Amino acid sequence: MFRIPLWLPFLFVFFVAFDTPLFATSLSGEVTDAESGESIVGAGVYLTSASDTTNQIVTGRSTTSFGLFSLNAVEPGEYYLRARSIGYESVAKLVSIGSRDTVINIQMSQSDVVTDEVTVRAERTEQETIEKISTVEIKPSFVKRMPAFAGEVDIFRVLQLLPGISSANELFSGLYVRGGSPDQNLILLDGVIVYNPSHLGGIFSTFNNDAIRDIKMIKGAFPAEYGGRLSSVLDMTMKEGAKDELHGAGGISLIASRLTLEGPITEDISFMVSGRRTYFDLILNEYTTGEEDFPTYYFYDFNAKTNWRIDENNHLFLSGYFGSDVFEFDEGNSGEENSSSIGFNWGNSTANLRWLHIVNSELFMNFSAIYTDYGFYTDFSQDDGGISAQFETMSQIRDFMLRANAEYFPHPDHDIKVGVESIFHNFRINAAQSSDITDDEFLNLFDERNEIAVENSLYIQDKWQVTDNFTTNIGTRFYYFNQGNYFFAEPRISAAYNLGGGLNLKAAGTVGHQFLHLVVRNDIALPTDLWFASNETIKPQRAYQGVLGIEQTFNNNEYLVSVEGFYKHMENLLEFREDVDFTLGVPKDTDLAVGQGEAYGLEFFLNKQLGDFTGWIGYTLSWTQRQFDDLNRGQPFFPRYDRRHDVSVTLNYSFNESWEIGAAWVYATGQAYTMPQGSYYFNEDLSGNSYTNQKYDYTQRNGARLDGYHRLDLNLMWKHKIFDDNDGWLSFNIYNAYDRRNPFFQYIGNDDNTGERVVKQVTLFPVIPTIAYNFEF
Amino acid sequence: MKKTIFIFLSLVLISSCDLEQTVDTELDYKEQMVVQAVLEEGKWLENIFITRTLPPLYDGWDESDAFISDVDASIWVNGTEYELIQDANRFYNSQNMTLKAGDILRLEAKWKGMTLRGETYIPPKPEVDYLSGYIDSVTYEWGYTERNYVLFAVLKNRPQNTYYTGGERNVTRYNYDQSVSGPGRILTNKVVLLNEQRYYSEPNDPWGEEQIDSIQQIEGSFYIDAHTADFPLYWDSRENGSSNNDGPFSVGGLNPIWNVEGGIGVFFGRNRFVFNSRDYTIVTEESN
Repeated sequence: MFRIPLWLPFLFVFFVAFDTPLFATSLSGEVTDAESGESIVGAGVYLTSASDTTNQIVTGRSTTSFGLFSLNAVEPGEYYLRARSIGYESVAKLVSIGSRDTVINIQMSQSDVVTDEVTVRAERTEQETIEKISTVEIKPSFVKRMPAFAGEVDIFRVLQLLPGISSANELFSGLYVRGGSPDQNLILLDGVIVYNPSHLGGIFSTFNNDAIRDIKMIKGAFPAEYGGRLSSVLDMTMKEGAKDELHGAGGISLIASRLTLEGPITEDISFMVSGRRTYFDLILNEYTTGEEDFPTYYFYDFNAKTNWRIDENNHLFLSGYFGSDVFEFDEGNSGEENSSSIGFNWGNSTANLRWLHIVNSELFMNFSAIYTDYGFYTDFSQDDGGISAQFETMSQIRDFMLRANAEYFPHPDHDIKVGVESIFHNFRINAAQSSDITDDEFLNLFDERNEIAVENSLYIQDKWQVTDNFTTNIGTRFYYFNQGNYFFAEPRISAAYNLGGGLNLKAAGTVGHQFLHLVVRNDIALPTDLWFASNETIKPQRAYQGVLGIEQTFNNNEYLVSVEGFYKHMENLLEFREDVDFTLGVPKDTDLAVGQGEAYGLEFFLNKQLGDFTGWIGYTLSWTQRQFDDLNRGQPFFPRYDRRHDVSVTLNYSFNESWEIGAAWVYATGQAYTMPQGSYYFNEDLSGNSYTNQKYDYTQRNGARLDGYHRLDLNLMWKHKIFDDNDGWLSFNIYNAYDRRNPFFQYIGNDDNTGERVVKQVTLFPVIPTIAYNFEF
Repeated sequence: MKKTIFIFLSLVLISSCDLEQTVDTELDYKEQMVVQAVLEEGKWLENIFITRTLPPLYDGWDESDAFISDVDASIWVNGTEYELIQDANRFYNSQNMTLKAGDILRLEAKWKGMTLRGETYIPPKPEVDYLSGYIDSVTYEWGYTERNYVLFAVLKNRPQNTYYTGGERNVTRYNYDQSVSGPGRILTNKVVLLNEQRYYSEPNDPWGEEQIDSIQQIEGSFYIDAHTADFPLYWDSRENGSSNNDGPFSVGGLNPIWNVEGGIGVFFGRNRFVFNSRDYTIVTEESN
């Protein structure tokens, strides 16, 4: 059997490391926000000659995901050290580089001028050709200014406005990226996988915008440092906590309130805590007598992070996220005759202990110990007087992960990343029942699926500036998954060529695998989605992706136009079979159908990035199909989220320092849907007698289309000062401003007046005006 | 202030209520032939029902609108063609031959330029070797007893088919299937005849039912239907899965998995064996 020697990539690194000028030295440091002390990710740091008035760049790099930079092969002399980043004033300071390695930290002040908060190009060193493709970075400050549903800003709903990203319908904030399903998105919060990033059955994402510092979305063909998912990466970093003084931010909307506090504990330790909770249940309690039967629902989430700067070369971070949704409905009083209760509870808990160790000016290392817990629990109980019954189900994933990453800058033209990860997954699905709830011990486990799987991976990638105009990112990710004994090597490559005048050509090709499968029940409306691990029967999902793009900036980066074409082929996708016997028990491998998928399309993006007036126009033309031998008689079908046309227009305009307006208009082809194409009479028991039922003959799976979806959302913001010099802003949001009755679903019913059969349509949300208040101090 | 907030919230919710409307959407109508044919050993090619689909919004409530009389239909039995003739009850029949186990059948029906095709076979009749079963019994603190009677038929012929069973004991009629869903449905020679739970309020005071202490006391008439191997795909997709659901979160309703091409419906062979439990030895098994 052919084996790839694992030491081979490291040999490459060794040779690169020695390909440096003999008398050169290194300049390294950290770029931070001058006010809060937060690390600035992706800032361009570069040296220009102090004696040359042309500002010709000697060398340059972007800061790492931890705000660090390293400029090496610098010959002794005087230079201007320059830094620039989105939303910050540019910095230039005269530095003298000697014959020894130098450490200089840079502080950057936030700019008052509205600058680009959404960028397709992640890195902006002056001469660098951008090799990243399909990457979008969004500042939380931008999310805050966009129209918000029910006054609650939501990162996912803003991401859905980008070309290539769509939603299944307006109820769900789940991300469908380039024809992939939500489980194929790697969603990382401080490097920790979040399995179910939704509240309220999907209406809101679990991420509190106030607690987030950076949002990076890679829509496909991602580099080797990411893996384990097929479609996309959403990498979010929590704030580390202000280092100067106590700061806070909060808000009150119609459904929830939130508060974030951050500040220093000592000179070297800072913290951030952030919480959010809905209060519809509390309002309901206030206005009901307690005798009526009303359901109780609320969700909360809590983020916390602390950052300890042990010394110049060692930082320790501890972060956590805890969020849960609770739904309860009690009918009658518990224990009394004819009483019943239904409860659902789902949520995520994550924790990450990370040690950042700066080995030297060219090598930065990170070590993490990570814990994730996702669970979905149901509890039904009924008391009929004589006989009581209780039924409980549980679907749980517990991961424990160890991760080590190294960023190595051996040469001005090479940024090398190496990492190793080991994840211990524990999947548990079980169902238990009792016929007597008065006897707790009589709760019998009657069905269980308990799997422990180990997922090991190792990656190496090199961002290589081949020439002044040509950059590549070449890498490989190796996987070993113990259930089924799978070993894979995933090549990843992306490249960009700068044609000059702000014109870049880009291309990428990747292979990816996914060992976890989310299988969705189609017959009920509860979040009963179950995760399955690959094994001998359930093969890992696999995707081949290719992306080709071109982008052009105009008017000194004020405008950006990009066009990207993509193709993605996916294998070993899972769905429930059409003949599966759904019960409240535990599904078996044989309940699943295996198939393949294909997605391709073109994305157009025009982005005005700078000035008082910002916004974008995005358009996606795409096709997404699935084919399963055991579904739809083996014929290909469109998943419900297939959209032929998807348009989004966002505008943001600052009238002055006090007033700002944001607008978002979306249009999408109607979702694919299954509707009757005929009706027939059929003898259900096949006995040949004359009694028949009238049934519907349906189209092929999702063979019909609902009407097109379009909607305009508006947000008017009034900013003002409160309590001395603190910021407050009042937001007036109008969701669905022109009250478009978008179809949520259609069905055949009877006309209320004539009784004739007609097509009826249900709309989810009409025009909804809301108000919210936010503040910062 | 609290009331103001509550009233505002209520108004928002109320404005969201009347969100169902009748829409002037023309649903595409695809006219198709519909066949229902379950053919058995020892019978003619009979009771074959061929109709058509009606528009999806049809609400005439008259089944005869679906009847079609000018279908050109034939069944080939082991390669020999038998033309089907429609009778007065609208069924298509051919009384020229009698089916036997192992016959291979092919249906072809032509109408309005459409051709519906199906293939099946007559499975062998199941032969019962003996019966077996057990009784589970639990007595609760407050006195009542729960008993579960489970009776199997163990078949002589190791099947290439799927069995569905039913029967009658006292006045109750039972229908069971050997329910193992999924592909490659387990083909077993041990099928469930009876799986019956009874509750007794006191050990010697049954609720109007005899309290049976031994599985050998089970008496009743039962039947076992041998179906073709592809029958469970149709049956399970009709009874389970998402085919019988058209809610907003489902895929919108799916058709059962038909076993014909060029139209919809079923064309199956079946073989039924009827017997009385008295006629067989009943072996007691260990209960679960």
